[in-house]
Amino acid sequence: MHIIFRQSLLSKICGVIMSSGFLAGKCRRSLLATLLTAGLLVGACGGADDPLLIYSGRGEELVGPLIDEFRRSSGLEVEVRYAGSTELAATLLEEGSGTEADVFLAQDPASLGLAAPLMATLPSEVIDAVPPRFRDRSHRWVGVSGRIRTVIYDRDQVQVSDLPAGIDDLLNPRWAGMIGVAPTNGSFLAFVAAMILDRGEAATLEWLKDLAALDPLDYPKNSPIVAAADAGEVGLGLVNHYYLLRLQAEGGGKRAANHFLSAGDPGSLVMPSGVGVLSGSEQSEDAHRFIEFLLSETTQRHFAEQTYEYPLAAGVRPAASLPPIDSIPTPDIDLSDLHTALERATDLVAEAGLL
Amino acid sequence: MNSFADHRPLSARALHKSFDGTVALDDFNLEVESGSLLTVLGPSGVGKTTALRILAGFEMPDSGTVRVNGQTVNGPGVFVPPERRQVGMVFQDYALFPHLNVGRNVAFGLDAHPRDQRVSVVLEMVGLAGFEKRMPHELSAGQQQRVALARALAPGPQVILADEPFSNLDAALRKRLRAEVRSILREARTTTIMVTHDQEEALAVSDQLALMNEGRVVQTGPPDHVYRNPATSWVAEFLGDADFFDAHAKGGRITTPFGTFPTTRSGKVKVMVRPESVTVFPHAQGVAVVTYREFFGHDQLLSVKLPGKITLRARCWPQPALAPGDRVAVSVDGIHIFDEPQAPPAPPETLPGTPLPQRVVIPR
Amino acid sequence: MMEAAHPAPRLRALPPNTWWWVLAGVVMLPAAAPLGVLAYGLVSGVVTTVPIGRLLELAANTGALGAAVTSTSLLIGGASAWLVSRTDLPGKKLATVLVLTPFAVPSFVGALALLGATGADGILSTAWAWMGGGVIRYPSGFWAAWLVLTLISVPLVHLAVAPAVRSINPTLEEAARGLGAGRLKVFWTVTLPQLRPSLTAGALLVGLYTLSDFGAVSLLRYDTFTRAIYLEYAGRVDRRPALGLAAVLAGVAVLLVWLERSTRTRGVWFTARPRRTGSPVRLGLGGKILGWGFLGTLVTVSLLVPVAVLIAWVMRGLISGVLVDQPWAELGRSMWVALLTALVAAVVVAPVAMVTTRYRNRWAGLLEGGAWALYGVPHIAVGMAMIVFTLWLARPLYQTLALLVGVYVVMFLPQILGPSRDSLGRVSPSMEEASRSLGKSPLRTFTGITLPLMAPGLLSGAALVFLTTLRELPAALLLRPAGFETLAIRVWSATGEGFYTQGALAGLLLLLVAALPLAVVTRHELIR
Repeated sequence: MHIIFRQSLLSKICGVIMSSGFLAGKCRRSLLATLLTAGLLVGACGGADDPLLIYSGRGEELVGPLIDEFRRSSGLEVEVRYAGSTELAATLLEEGSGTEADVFLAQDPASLGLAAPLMATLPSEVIDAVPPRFRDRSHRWVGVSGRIRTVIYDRDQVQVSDLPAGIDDLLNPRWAGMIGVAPTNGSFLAFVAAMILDRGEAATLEWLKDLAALDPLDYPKNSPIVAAADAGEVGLGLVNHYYLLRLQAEGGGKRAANHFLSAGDPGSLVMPSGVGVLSGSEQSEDAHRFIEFLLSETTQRHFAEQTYEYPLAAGVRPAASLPPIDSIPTPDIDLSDLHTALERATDLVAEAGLL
Repeated sequence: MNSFADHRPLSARALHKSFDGTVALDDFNLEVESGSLLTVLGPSGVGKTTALRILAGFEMPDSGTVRVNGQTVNGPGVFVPPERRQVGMVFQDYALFPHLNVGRNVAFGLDAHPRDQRVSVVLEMVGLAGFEKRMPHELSAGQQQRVALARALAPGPQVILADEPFSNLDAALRKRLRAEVRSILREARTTTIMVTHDQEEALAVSDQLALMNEGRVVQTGPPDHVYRNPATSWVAEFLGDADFFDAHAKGGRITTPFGTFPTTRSGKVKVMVRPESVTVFPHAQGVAVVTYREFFGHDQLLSVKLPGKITLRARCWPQPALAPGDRVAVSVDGIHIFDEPQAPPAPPETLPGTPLPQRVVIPR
Repeated sequence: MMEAAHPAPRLRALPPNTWWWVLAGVVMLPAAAPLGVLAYGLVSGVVTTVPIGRLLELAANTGALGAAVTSTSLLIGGASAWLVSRTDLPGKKLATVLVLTPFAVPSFVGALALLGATGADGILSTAWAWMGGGVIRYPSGFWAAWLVLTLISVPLVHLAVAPAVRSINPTLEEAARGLGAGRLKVFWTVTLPQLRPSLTAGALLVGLYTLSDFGAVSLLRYDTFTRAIYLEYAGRVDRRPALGLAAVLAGVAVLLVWLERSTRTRGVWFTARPRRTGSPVRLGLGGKILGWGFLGTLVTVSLLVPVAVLIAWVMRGLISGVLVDQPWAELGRSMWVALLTALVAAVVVAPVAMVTTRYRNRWAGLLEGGAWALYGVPHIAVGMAMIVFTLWLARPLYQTLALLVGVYVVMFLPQILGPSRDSLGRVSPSMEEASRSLGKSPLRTFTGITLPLMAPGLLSGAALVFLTTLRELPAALLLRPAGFETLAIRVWSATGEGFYTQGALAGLLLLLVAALPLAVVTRHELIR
């Protein structure tokens, strides 16, 4: 009965509106149509002045404030598409030379390497600001901030003396059910890709299978692993170094600690986040300005002080609690090649049953 | 061709229409005189509604011509859409607009100006003065019917078409309302074409009848004329009660068990007798035997068996009370003669009654 | 001697009607794009790139989740429907509203609530630790997805089953009791068979929903088809595996839709006849307490706790000062895209409704079937297909708002088609003919008669489309224009990153705006 009431009331109202005058109806309709068309066209065509379009594989929470600052300081219109780094690299490859994107900002060298064929060579004054090991050998992307793979651990559960020296020590059965991993996360996949380059596919698969046999706890991202270690939910976790520092800045992280592996294996891979300019960009100058902004002292200081990453340019020093970047032993691989192993890394992780 | 009158309110000529191979109209012809009520009568499924929908412009004929007031609205290369035909329509389900009140329903076909005045005039005409603000669902079926009529009348169309307008009403209301509608239409001097399958209704209200069968009009004329002079045995049987039997005409006369009738034909013929022209009375030497009786109070219907396997019904005075098995004499006041279906068609004959072998003094 | 009610003449529309067909065809043509691409994906993607083992694993996982969610939500939803529709439980109206409200909770918000409640810094963990307990572990995988999806599916089952419970024919039960059958036997042999069509319909709806869900399984990390499709898409350059998986999923979904539609017709036949409804089952005081205990627990777990967790996270963020950027822009975009979709859907549905209501032929069936098939295909599969389609064949539409709105309109068309057709069914063609014979053109007849009479259906259908668009995640994730972050995407990405504060605020906003159209939509339309 409720329905009937509504029905008749509504139809009365509509009937009065519709039949009260055809001309008026016509006006209303055409207004509506104009609105609709306008809305769709705005969506379809964008503004007349194309904004600088950045594909960002780094999350809005981290990059958003920087973008706002760049908008302010440069006066440029900037638009950002946020998604996973690999997803955006794949999108760029798919879009090919017709892409609208001007800048690709990625979390890891593997994604940058995938998209490198579409990227233009960067001018030397931009490139030279960063040490050669953190940039593409053909100068198509340049590192912006350094991130180091570490092992997070719960100090209550794990004695310092028991800490692993390298990733192979992680396979000790004593860690069964105690390790937290984020197998679908880009940095974990980059770590696996580095292992493939360092040790070959077979050895990598074996390592992954052994890890899977330990029943690791899986997490979507690094930060929940760190939170879990801090709460004693896991004993060890494979993460990037800066999550703990962020947690500590928010007042947590009293229980967990970072452990930098000393064996010089992929477990202590230094992965720069990086940036490149698409060769099809019609705003490469603005794009270069954005990169210069990223490598400027202010921004590098932001990385050091706000995100706790390693600054790579302008002589800015990392957070006081971090060891110098050159003191970390890393595997001897060229980061420009990391992407070649990325696809296999995904396959192997799936094959090992870690997904 | 020029007999196709130009200034009749509506005329249709040689309409053909089929749906997916099923023929609905086959050489349909119809003309209606100004101010008269013409009823298209026929059993269900003979194409009455299709014809009406073509006249209204809701359906496209495969071929043929329709004219409204001399203007061709359907014809070779011509199609005037319904909204420009000046043809009003009363639907079987009334099709009142449920979201508009009575006044707005009636005013729907009116142009802006003397709208309210016309609405009240028309509503008054159908006896619903002051009903403007009511919603259709608040009305009784009979009132809805009259609103539908008022709505169709309001713009002053050349013709009103009505599709089984009384079929959704119960029997008592139907009888009352059809008389009312008849007088409303007469008062409005509107030309009307109504479609129905109800013979009683058609005979009662029409100025003209058009009997329709198998996609065409088989006979037109005033109701009493058609009733008395059916063009075919089908018409005779459809319009009222009729009994048939075969007979032989020879030497200018037809001999039946109840008398001899003159005729111009010879050979096998079909004889039709209407029950009301049959009179029976008890007679020990009568040729007929009563087989069945239905008593109605104001009259009775008897079924009598005559020699030659002839059965006739007689609608007659309720007295005397006859019972099955009673022997009776029969007199018939007029017969119709039709050709056998196989024979080449010839105009049917209506023969006056002949002197009865036994006189019956009962006023009819 | 003559029939009292002569049957109405066969419905036939006016002669110049072909343009309805043309319009309807134009509207439904885009539906062919995703289906075509998915068919291509089935051939090219699955055959060449997806290992059969992986396919079977995904099928097993998805099937297990579907079966578990379906059976538990049938039990719970069936019980709540029985309590509300067949007993003398006090406060049944309130109970109905409370039981149905979780329908407005998108699965990813449910997942966020679960994640935000547990884990090292979860709300419940904190509370539990305060009471001296240990950390409640992050639930993940099967059980977590099962919990969230079951709680969200209960309203679907309730909606599907309650009308059937109400129309159970008590004379049959009485007859069975009279023949000496016990209560239990009567339930199994008489009551349950009467409910079977509606239970089947409810089960298929839930199965379809579980199959299509992306938000909960991706956030809670249970390896089903939808999550695998997204992982393949996000982690690989080669699009064929993702497209192939999407095609397989779409095929299964279309099969389920077909099953659902065919059981529904039978269900209608089974329950639509008017009958005497029985007097309600009398519950004693204990029964009433037990009944409300059950409903109360259900509502607490599926509605109160999730909302409380979200509010707690927002409060936590406000207190600690972490909550700096408010998602007003996201709210605006969500409302805008939902509004556009609802408006466009209301405009384009008219010809499809006209054609499928007024004509009963093969083409009308094809149109309607196509609309329903696409409705059932999981959004992530449609999204995948449309990425590929626009990249290859319709580049100007690639990642535009127009495309997103277009895809939504085509996907959600049945939601507005159903109510529109119900309304249109009450407009007899003779009303339109009457208008024509009163001198109105086809256009004025449509605007003056047909449209106003269709309006109630259009309105509630549009409200439903608005609601569905608001909470849609996977297609937005794949097809949105650059920078077009909506509330749903915000909840999803913030939750994935572990920024529960931001996610919770966006989630609460989403719940609030989603509750608005729910007031317009009738229960009848929800289960279509």
